[in-house]
Amino acid sequence: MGRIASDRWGWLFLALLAGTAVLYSCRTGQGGAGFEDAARAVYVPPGEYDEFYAFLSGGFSGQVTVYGLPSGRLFKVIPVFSQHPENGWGYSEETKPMLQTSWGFVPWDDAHHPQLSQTDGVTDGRWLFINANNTPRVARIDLRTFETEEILEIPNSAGNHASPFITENTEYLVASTRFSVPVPQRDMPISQYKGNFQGTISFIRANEPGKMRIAFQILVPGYNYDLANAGRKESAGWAFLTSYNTEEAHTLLEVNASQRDKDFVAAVHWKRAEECVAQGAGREVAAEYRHNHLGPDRAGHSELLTSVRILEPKDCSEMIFFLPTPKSPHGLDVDPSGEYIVAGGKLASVIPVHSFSKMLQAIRNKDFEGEVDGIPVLRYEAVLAGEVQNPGLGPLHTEFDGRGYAYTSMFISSEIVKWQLGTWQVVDRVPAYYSIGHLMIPGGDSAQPWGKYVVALNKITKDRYLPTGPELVQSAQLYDISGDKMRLLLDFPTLGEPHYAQAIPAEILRRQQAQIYPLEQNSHPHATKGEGQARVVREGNVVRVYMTAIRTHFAPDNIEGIRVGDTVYFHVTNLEQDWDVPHGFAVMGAQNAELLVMPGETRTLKWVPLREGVYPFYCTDFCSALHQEMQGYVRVSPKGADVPLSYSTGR
Amino acid sequence: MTQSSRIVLAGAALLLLVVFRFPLWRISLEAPQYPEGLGLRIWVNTIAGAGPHDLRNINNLNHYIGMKPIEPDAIPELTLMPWIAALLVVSGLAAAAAGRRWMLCGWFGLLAVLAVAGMVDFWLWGYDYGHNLDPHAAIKVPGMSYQPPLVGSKTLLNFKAHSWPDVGGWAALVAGILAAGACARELRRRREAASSPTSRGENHGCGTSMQGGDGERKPDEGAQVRPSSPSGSGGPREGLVAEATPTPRTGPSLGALRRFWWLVAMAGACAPQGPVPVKIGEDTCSHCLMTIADPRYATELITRKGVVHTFDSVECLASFLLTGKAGEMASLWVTDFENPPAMVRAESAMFLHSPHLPSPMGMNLTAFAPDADTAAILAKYPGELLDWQQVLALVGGRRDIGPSGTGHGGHGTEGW
Repeated sequence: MGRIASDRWGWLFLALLAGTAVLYSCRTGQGGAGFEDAARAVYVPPGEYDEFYAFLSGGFSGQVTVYGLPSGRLFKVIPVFSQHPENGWGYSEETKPMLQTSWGFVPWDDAHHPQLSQTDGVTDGRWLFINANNTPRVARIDLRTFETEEILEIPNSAGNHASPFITENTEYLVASTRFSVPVPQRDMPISQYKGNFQGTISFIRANEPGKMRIAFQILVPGYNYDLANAGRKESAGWAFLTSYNTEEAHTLLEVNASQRDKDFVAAVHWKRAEECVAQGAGREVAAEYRHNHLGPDRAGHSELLTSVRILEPKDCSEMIFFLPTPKSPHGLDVDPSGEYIVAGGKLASVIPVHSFSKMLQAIRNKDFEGEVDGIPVLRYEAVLAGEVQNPGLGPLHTEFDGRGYAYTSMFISSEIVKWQLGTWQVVDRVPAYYSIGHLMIPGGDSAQPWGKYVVALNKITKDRYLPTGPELVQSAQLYDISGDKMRLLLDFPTLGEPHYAQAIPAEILRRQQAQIYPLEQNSHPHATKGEGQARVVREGNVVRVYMTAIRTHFAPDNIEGIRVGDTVYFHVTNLEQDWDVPHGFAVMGAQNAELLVMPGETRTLKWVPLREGVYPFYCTDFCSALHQEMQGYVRVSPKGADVPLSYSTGR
Repeated sequence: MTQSSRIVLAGAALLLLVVFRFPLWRISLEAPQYPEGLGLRIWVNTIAGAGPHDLRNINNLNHYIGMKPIEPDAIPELTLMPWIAALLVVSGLAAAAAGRRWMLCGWFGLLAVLAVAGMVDFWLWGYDYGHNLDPHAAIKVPGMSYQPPLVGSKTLLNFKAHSWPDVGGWAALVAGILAAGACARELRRRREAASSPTSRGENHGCGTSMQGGDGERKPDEGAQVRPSSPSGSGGPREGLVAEATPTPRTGPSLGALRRFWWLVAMAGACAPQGPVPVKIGEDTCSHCLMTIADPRYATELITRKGVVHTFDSVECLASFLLTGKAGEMASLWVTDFENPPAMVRAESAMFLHSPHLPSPMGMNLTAFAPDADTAAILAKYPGELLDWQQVLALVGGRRDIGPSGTGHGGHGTEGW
């Protein structure tokens, strides 16, 4: 008996072992079959191109990263709101003004939501916009040069989170405050938040490069405005924003802002607001904020702006309405037709979908359940198109594939849920690794989704890659959504913390890429367009070195007559007119960074020598076979020395 | 209880020491965001995370749904449980040393009651944590509570919770099974002894295994015999034992109790000494080979080797002895006529030799307890009172009954 029993236990043990082995293999395989298919689906053979450019926000890196899809390969980090010593962004004299704010020079920010410019609701590949959350700003990146060329600060804002969301012809960027604050800012007790703090919804004219301006700001109740989307097609004249903390709590928001069953989606009829402003509604209010842009000289210019037009709901009837929406909604997404407005109630057990046409009907019928600060609150049932039942836990963001399906990220249950517009039925779900935040379908927030892939942008990485100590990269996953079932193709690491992302067919951008900056168009005031013009000029304590760089020397490369106490500007012009031949410039004793100078471009490094001596400078970007020879010396004499200023190359 | 039961009980008690070294219970939580796993371990004296920071992390997650933090210091049971466990270990070892069956079964009962109480307590705490939620919690799902499963798995929002015994709990379970098994075995052995006329061939202590034969049984099984002798070697007083029944199959608890008293009576003796209950209508007389029919006259002889011979009368017992076939005798038992099936030692019993009270084999010999009311007996059945030696002498003079005694005086006849 004992013998038999132990044999049985033995078998059971073996069975458990086998089961564990099977489970383990499943765990590592995550579905097992189809790896070769997936590999083929994301494989871009050497020398060939990806199908899409993807632009991922850098989150707390403050930058934008450019990836190829489906390969998941990183192509570029575009510095936007944070200094980037790698290419001198925010260190060179030309780019320092780009990071100027009303608070002075700010070297960092938190960038969340990239947004491609649109024409007729379709991404057009001209520009990419992105917000700075901490010091409220929006930036424009030129997609011919992949360079940040304009940054506008937003006054009367704090936590520029619901930003920037673009109208269908890039008329406006909509940018709203996550943190309500006293408007205008003033000293007051925090405990008097309720009724005194306010939010603003800014409409920023974005259609003309170099001329971003705040057209008007709408003053709204002191809620937290979280995310937004502009309408399209029939709803084109509208913008929609989620809000939470309609409780108007000022402390322990995780609890105190989670009490109400419904918060609001704000529907803003910006066409109507435009009319009101044209008729002189609202008031011009003093406010200091900065507008920075790269001029035709490719140098940053920062201007101080001093007022902004403020519009209150009472100034302009039928401009703004509240749609009750469960429960602390986060994401706000409008479907390609412009009819459905999807809110991700992050604590809600359903995904509510509002109908734009029902909303108009309810407004016509004055089907209101109340009013807040002069803003009519529509009846939930009157505007509701449907609710997606049992979608999962923690719905956040929704994208559309253009074929009648929506894809919602579920933070808590860590999955993407595919559901059908109109029937509101969940049709598929697939896990994300782990805790997905935003998701992105190329064009999935526009009138024309390119809908072949969805990218999950995850907050937690844990065991997805080889571990790298406590700080891990964020992880993204690429899924094929061309079939009925979503299919995981690829995991790839990202930089910073991507929140939202955008993607556009590669062909649209590839054709328009600049390869060089034409030297003859270089209008930089300190450009040196030929080696013969290379020179060193003293202006009191300021010494300007007009330097050229070409394979494989600097001119001048021997400089004397600099004294301790001087401020030296190296104005380095790259004379190359050949694709992919930047030159770098670094000088010993510099207290900032290097320069990376593109062909035909002039960049300036400020150098304040502290000690006498002879210091080398050299090219940091491996430019040619004799790159190592591309160097020079600068002699620094003591303060008051009488060494004459001289410079030379090859003498 | 047998030596093996004592070892099992001691083993079970010692097995409980495992709870001081390993957790009793484990609650594992699975969620997509926790590929590395997250869990709680309930120890005999604390609640801790599976990993060093799991408790803290779980408490932090639970705050979203308004569950109060799990603070081991706030759970008084955790200070009590080590003492309970220690008590179980010590009492189990003591019971094993005492070797008493009621203690074995009692220990199992105690363990079972405490285990059930522990699980109920665990459930109540789980209920409290799962239902007593902060009404201001960030995440409130209507109708949702978060009571962890008592045993098994349950989905709680994005977590799948699994609740199972850990090493300590399994050890306690095994200890319980061992004790239950030993207890059941002891009870079964007792029952089987009560229902079988033959030796089971298993031995006690220093005895050797025996092959039972007709009329031979080992005195190691449950008894329906009620020793009524107050004398030192005869067992405890009648008043201490439960009411005996003549039926061979008795309920386990009564049987166990009786078994216990038998064990007490025999404590310290190497060889079993009886008495062993005689199964009326089943057992046969070792001397005359007749089936024993009258419980008032059953007698028996137990050898030093533990073989039990049963007889249908005093005269057959005496005759058997006198044939010299008995081997080395350990004890002789006769039924108290006034109080069957209680048996007394033959040496201390009182025998009536009276023609007014015929005995099964016709020698008119009837046994009484030593403290029987002799005057009343003699008044009812006039005759003479004998002691055992006198009985032997009497039977020795009349050895006309025997194994081939067919044709001799039948039961109840006044044949001689």
